[in-house]
Amino acid sequence: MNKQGPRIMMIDDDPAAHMYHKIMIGKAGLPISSVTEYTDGKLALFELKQLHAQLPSDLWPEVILIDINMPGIDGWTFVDELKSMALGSKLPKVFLVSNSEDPADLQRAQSSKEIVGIRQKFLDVDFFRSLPQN
Amino acid sequence: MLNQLSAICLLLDMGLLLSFLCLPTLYLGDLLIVLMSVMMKLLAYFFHSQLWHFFTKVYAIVCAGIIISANTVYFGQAVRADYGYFIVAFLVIIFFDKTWQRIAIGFVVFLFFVAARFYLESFGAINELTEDPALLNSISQRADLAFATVTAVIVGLSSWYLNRLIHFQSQTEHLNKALSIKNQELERLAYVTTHDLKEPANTIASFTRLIEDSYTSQLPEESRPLFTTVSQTAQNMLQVISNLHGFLVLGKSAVLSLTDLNDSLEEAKSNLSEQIRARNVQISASRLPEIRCYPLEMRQLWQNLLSNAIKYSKENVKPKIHINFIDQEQFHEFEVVDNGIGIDSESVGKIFDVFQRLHLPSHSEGSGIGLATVKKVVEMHQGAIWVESQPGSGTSFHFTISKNLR
Repeated sequence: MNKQGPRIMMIDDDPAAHMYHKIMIGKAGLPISSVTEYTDGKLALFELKQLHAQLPSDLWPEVILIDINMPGIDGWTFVDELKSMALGSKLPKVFLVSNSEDPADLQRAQSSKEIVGIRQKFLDVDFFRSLPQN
Repeated sequence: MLNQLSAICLLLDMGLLLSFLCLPTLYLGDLLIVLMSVMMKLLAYFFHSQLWHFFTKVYAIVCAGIIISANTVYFGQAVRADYGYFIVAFLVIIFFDKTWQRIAIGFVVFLFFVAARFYLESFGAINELTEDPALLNSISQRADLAFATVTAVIVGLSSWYLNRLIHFQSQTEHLNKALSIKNQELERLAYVTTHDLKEPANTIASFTRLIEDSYTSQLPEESRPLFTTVSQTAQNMLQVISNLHGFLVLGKSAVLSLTDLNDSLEEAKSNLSEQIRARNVQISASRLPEIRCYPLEMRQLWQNLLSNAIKYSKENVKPKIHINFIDQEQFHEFEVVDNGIGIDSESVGKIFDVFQRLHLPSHSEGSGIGLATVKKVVEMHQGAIWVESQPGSGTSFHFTISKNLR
């Protein structure tokens, strides 16, 4: 019964987003324990690099949800940093989470192969249900 | 305004030219002044600001030269007075910026000029006249004197007019620039405001909906309708802010490309499939062309026009929408015809204004931004949009798209 969900890294400077998404993760029947949340992109990146160094890690996230507009490191910069880590098959599924329906963002996301897609805030139950289970 | 003034100057000169041609004695100098003046006014029609300034200054100098030389030849005695007049007139044109200064100095110079003429006539020329037995000749000299006066005054006046024109033009340019900066600031402000309000509005709307969906049973019975109102209002607020934001963002990163409008229309239809199915709407279109346009914005245009037609359809009649294409020489013309409730002639002028919808009863959905969006898209495509409607029998929207978009 206890589903083993994907490890999800959530990065958003708005705590309300974390609160909402955790409720949705719960509603989707995924374990909250598999979620790590960051309000600072820099910190998240630092953590990710640490995890990458200590191979193998069962804390390595399979899904990253990152807000586009953040102070400090924004979503795009984060993805660029991720790209420079050359993770290969370890690359998590990255979803950009956005508040505006800017077509320019959409185009930019489509042209980057590291990004799975852009989703509008807030993500609903169906989104979390659709994540790959393992 | 500018063109009117130029036209007056031009007419003035034409009249002067004619009167010169009717004279028994024709003086090349006077004729040249007028021809020059006419030419300058014509130039003023075709050139702008900097060149304008340059030409009017050249004009003043040339006129001064011509009048001085003409008067030297024909009226030896009058030279000093004319010379003085022109020096001052020249100064007025070149060095005085304020209109009132020009008028005041121009008037003083005019008086001085008249006085000088009067002096010359009464104490110089007339004395000679009485001594001169050839009366006819002297009369013609006096006539010449009068014409020289008129010419100088008119040249002075038209220079003043020209300067007023320049003044108006530079002022208009200045104001236009200031206005466009203010507009940009306002747009920026609106953009930032809607962008920053969207996030909290979205949070409130999403959280209230979450509570409504999941925890209503735990709310006290009597508070539930209150909470529903809060949730509804939050959704509406978010809708309005999102729409306004979308409107402001529209076209900001648009790229022209060759687009098959049949596909673009199909996309719009599929985005509206829910509405179309709910009202069993029949949409038909003649064969649409493949054109250079902004594809994303075009899709929004179709979507908004269709959604508008569905929204204002008659309740008990199957909504029918037909899209026509007319290939004009300079532009593509499209027509979207529906069999809806129509628009009364009073409202026709207002329908493209942002938020017009909000002033109408709240039972109808939408934020009144749809047709404003349509208009903005048409304007992006250097086209025009207009509407023909018979209240009670339907509406047809016409719009054009330029064939020379770059």
